[in-house]
Amino acid sequence: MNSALLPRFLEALQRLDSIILGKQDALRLALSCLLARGHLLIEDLPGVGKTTLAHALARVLGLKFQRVQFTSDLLPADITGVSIYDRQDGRFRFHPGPIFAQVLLADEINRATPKTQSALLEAMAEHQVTVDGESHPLPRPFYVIATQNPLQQIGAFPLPESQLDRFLMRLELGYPDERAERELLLGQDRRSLLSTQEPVLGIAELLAAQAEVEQVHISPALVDYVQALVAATRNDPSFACGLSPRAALGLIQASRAHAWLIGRNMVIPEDVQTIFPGVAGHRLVQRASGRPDHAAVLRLLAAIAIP
Amino acid sequence: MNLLGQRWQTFIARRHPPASGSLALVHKRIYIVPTRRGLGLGLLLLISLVGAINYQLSLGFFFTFLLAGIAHSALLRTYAALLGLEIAARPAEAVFAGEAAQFPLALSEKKGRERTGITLLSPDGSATRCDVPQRGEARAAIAVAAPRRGRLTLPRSRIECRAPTGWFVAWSYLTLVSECLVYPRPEANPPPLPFGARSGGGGLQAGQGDDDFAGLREYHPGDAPSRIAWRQAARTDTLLAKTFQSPLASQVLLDWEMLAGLDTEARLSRLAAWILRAEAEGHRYALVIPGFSRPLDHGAAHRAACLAALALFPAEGSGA
Amino acid sequence: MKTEQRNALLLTGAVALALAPHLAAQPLWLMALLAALLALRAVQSLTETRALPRWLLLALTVVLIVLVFQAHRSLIGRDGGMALLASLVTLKLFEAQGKTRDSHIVVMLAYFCTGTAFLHSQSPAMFGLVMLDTVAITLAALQLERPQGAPLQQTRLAGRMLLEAVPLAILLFVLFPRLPGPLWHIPVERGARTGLSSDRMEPGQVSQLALDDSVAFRVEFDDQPPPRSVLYWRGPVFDYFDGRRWLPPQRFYVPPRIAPQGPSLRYHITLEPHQQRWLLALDMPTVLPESAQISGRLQVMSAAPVMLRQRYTLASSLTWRIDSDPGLALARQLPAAGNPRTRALAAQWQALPAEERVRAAVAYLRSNGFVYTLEPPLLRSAHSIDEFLFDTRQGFCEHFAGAFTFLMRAAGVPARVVTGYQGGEYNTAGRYLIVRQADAHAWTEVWLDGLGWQRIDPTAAAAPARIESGLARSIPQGDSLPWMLRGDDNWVRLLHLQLDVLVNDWNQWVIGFDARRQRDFLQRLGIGDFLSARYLGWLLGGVALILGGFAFVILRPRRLKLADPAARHYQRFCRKLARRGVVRMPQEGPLDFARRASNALPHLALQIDAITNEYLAIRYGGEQHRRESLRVQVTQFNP
Repeated sequence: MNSALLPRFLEALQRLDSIILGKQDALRLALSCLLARGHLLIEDLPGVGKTTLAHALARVLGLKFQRVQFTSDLLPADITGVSIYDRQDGRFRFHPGPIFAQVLLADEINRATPKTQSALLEAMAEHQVTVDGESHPLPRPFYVIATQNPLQQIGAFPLPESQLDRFLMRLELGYPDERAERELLLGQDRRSLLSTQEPVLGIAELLAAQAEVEQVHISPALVDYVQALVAATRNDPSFACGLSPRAALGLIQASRAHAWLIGRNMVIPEDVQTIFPGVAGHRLVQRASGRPDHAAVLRLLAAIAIP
Repeated sequence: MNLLGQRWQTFIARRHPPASGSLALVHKRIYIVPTRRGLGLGLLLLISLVGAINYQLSLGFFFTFLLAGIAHSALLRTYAALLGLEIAARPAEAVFAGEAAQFPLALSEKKGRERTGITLLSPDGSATRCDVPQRGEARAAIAVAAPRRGRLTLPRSRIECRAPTGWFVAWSYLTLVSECLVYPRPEANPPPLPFGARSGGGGLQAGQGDDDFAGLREYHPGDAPSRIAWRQAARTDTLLAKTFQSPLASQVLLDWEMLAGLDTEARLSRLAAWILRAEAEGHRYALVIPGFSRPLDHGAAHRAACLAALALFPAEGSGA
Repeated sequence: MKTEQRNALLLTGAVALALAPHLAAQPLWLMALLAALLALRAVQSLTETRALPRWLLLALTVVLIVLVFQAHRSLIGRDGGMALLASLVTLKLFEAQGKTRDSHIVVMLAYFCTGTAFLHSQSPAMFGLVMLDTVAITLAALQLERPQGAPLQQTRLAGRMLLEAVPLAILLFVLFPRLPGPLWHIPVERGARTGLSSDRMEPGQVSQLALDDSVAFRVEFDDQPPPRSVLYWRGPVFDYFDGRRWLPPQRFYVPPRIAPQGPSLRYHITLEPHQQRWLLALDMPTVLPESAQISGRLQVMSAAPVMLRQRYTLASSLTWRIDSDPGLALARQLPAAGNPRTRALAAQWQALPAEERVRAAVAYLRSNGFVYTLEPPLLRSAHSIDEFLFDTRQGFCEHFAGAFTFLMRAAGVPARVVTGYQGGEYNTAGRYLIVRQADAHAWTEVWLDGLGWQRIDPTAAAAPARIESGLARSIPQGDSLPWMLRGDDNWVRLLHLQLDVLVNDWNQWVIGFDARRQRDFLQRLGIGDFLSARYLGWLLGGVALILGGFAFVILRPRRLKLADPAARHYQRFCRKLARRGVVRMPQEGPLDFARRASNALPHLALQIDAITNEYLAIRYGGEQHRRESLRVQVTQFNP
């Protein structure tokens, strides 16, 4: 398959790479996630560039974005918006919140109260916001790119499993390697670099690319493999619960996007293997500790034969 | 139990060490003997052999040996049904004391043989039968009576197979490490729930609580500054205040100390019954027992955590 | 049909099949009763009727026991015991309705019943029936343990189990030590006699056999078989005439000594069971089989009636001389009166020497228009020999033999009637002679001083073709004869002869595999006796090999048979690479593997890439049309 769109996306990737140095794999995964119409959760220590990545993604893709810093006193209405009585009209008028954007950057999502978190996540799931009994549809495309700090901190509310399931993928950035870090230290400030970026793509191209991703071939043999993986997560007693059908569907979608980004018109097991940790990592929590177990996810991937 | 029986028990215990997670049935851990039907077949073979000798029946000999061959063929299949079967313990759902705990097992087949008539026998004699498809998996559970609260471990149980003919029985022992939490038996007719124990009784009125955000209203002088919705006020030129509310449903504090006068088990039993009732009626409840406390909440996870605390509460006289 | 119904019907069918050979040997009423009960059980299982009440079953049991005892005067032994067993199995089948434990007992009893069917016959057909039934019973046993099993799959399993049992059965069949005799004495049961009778001989008796094409016995000669005209197989001898019938010897005496005058001819007879003691031998036997003896009338007698097919070896001399016979007086006996015309005819020859008298009588039969026919007119007169010789002049061999013997005695020459078989059919395919019941014959022996007993066949005088070329050529064309007895070589007949070779081999090597044959066979393997290390080596080695072999086949894990041909080709490709030390991990994707393999074997990188791309396109891209190209590439790939 030789899509006219692909070079544009590769250019976007390149651009992202020039901003976030040395993280090509993570960037590719992030882009796959958006092409698969999934929300993205970026989890890592402070200062490794989570927010920069989220910004850069929105910027390069040419999407309208809003950023909300989640705090413990953030209220649901602060995100969704409120209806306020208008004295001139004599009726309530809806003031849309920051969620009415194409990309919502939810920074430190685990700092908000569960109530606020769930307001956001319900909006993500239903693609609309309901205030005072009135529904307001969200724009399309609509992405939530959330970041969170994995360290258990006082006053943090870790996302419950049911909410985590709404994020298609979870990425970790990790420290940059030596060379990338050196370049980072020598180069100009990332944020200012970011602000000078021009979008590489537009909404129309993103939507067209999503349509092409849908056409990437999935063979029965590949479905067998995905099913084997999913079944293994359900059977492994060390996990509290296995992957949901939604997760399995997401895995296939993201694998499609990953294959598309490589320029292949079919999904092969390697795509699934690349995507799997990102899709499964945050969904599979250890039965004993209740926390995600990434090593177990990789172990599981190594234990399942490709049928 | 006689001496021989004890010897056998120690022999079995030595040969089947506890296995965590899963175990595969290997040949040295599978035993096989003829059943009574098998012995009947043996007698039949003997009679037909004597008959063939006496009547000088060549085909009688052949028939006898053919039956012996069929018996051998059946024996191999009975043995093969267990050989290489992998059994893994799956987490067991907690039960209440007095119920039977179900220890789910997954039997997985990787050798490419269909295995039928696999029977799991718990020590108290209850049996479950299942068939394991070729290169597939079957689920079965071993039921074990759970008379007392606490942790119940899966006792050594037997896995056996008599298929395909019932002439032989092959068996092995499952020594999988698996635990099931046993909650205290809920008291049959507990006294009414101790409502609102913390605030002196009665449900809370709307507008008084501070748990849930209920909406915005215009600012009245006297409203606490922390309640002013500054952000919205800035946008709309109107001073607005946030209102909060607690649900009308009541709050229940389940406190160990309220039940002074009862012995440990009776207290646990009543607390368990109250937790169930509070959950069923949709109340929020908190649990406070020595060494454990849980704030007001409700839902399956809360219930499970509270009941688990009761289940694992140290028994009287255990010194903890 | 519900599974329980199906399984109940299956068990009933298996039992019916097992009982069928036994019922055929039982009195008609018992057979009918048990067959009706089996049919009732079958109907019951189809319609799900309630089980018969216990008291009724008990009553039926008592009734059947009484009836069986009435019929056989015994509840043990072969016939009585089997009748009782058949009754009990049938009733147990009713009791087992819906009960697994009782059904298992029925299964065991059914196995026993089907095995004991060999008491009735060990023919290939019976063998086939028993094997079929063994599969059916095994299937019933499988269904008891797994009632919901798919019938086809279970049947295949039952058949497989039987086939797996065959090697062990053959090994033990050959090697298990056979005893030369029974462990204890078995009561002899009087079965229906077949073939020639040794009770009496009267007109019409042998001609009844003329239409019976069943095999009487088979003969293998050590050397060339003698010509047909001397193949007189000696059976029962009759020397007392009561005016109508010829009766067997009444007195016993020391057999006369036979002085052979020619070379000795060795041969082996496999005799079909005829439930009588006499054995057949070529005139005249000189070397007898073990445990047989010769009677005063030179009949070879076995120690016990021949209940099973029996093979024995003897030797005969075709020419002989006998000097004296202490029983000669008995061969002159005639009733005081009767047949005056015959006596008158004989009286004409009184003056001639003995040989001339014989010749004159033969000449009389040859020249007076006697007709040899299968359908002679009935002899109604009290003077039956007169009637035959002077009025009807049509007869079968017993007419000729009887009349001739009478004529000789009336003429003063000692004579007696000998019955047996004449001729036989040489089966060139198996190089043995088949003698059928239709070859039954009767002839005369006369005593000539200096020569002793010599054979005269009066039938040969009237119909020389009977002796030269057999029955079919010697009777008028209008007489109806079975296919096998007709002279023309039609293909049905040739096929039948081929089939008979198989039957003969079966008889010789399967049924006839007794202690003696086993000894011969083991000696060929170098095994001297059953206590030798060599025997134990063969026995244990063979058993271990067979049992171990099946254990290996059944217990070994099966290689996954991939349904997708593309995956199979790829597997082949991986195996080829594995031989070069590049082993694909089960969880390794094709591209990853190709990368690793190309690094390890850089000179093959192009081929590896091409095959991997082809495979990916087929298996994950759905481009099935490229399968052939993949196959070719993998085949050509030789790392």
